[in-house]
Amino acid sequence: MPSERTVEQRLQRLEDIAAVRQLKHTYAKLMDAGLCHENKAWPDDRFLALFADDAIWESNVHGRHEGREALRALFAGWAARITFAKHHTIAPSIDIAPSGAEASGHWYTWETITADGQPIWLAATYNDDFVKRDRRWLIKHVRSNIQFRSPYHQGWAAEAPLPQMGA
Amino acid sequence: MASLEDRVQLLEDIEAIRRLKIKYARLCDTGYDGTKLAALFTEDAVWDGGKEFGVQNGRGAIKAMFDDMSNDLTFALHYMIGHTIDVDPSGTSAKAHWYLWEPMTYQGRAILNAITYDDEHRKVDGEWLFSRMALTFHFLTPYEDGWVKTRMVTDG
Repeated sequence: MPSERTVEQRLQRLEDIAAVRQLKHTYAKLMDAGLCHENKAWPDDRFLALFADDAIWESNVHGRHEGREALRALFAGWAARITFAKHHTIAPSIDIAPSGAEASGHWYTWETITADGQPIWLAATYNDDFVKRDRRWLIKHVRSNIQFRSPYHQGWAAEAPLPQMGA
Repeated sequence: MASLEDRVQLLEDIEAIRRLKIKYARLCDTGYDGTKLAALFTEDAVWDGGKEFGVQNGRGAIKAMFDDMSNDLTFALHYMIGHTIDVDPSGTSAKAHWYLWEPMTYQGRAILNAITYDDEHRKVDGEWLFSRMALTFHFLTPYEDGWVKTRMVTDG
């Protein structure tokens, strides 16, 4: 950190990093709880409230979905097929913009999923953007680069590499 | 009692060391660029891969090892987990411990690798670097075998 920053500004940055990390891990927690629930009504408003109104969710496999209603439809499609999910969301690298109102973050995720009744390994990285609005951090843009999606009994070596999106 | 500034500095140092390890992971997972990886180590650093993968002394040897890494190791994801980081009271050196969960493809074969790291760090010109990275392999097993049948594929 440049020494001209005050101690309070330096502390604010550390608090923002912690808040963004917790936001992403809440995203994983609520998604897994929703997808695993027997009588699921997911995505619910509590989950969608983690996103900015104009948020984007995109991946190299699922395409690009913009706006809260598009996200609702995307996630409802997953809920119809996925009966179990654990997003082990690991190793955050979070950068807070000098403005203190925007941030970006990179994570790894190791997912165990049951989709259409079949056990799946899913490995991905995230390059996400965040905004702070009304003193609260929100998800602005999720970019999920799926590295492999492999049937449990097969493993990942047989799969062709998936094309990766830039940050 | 440490001053508020010293306490903030400690948290910043821990965050910087944590980020350094994840930067190492991401460089490994995007093609093992030897030059960029070696820049994360001090000039006199040691990379200790134990009896399985040998010891590299110095930044040049570490660069050469990483430059050759992706010949057979065509895919890897380094999931760096469960860090404990202790910064020396001097604020210029630190020790860290990490778990690694690493699915990889080696010579076309799916492999699961479980490692713990004992790392040492020095702060050089305001930047945290690795001065030592020591790996302990707990299993390195073909995916279809699992770790009871084949603990270390290098033994076979």
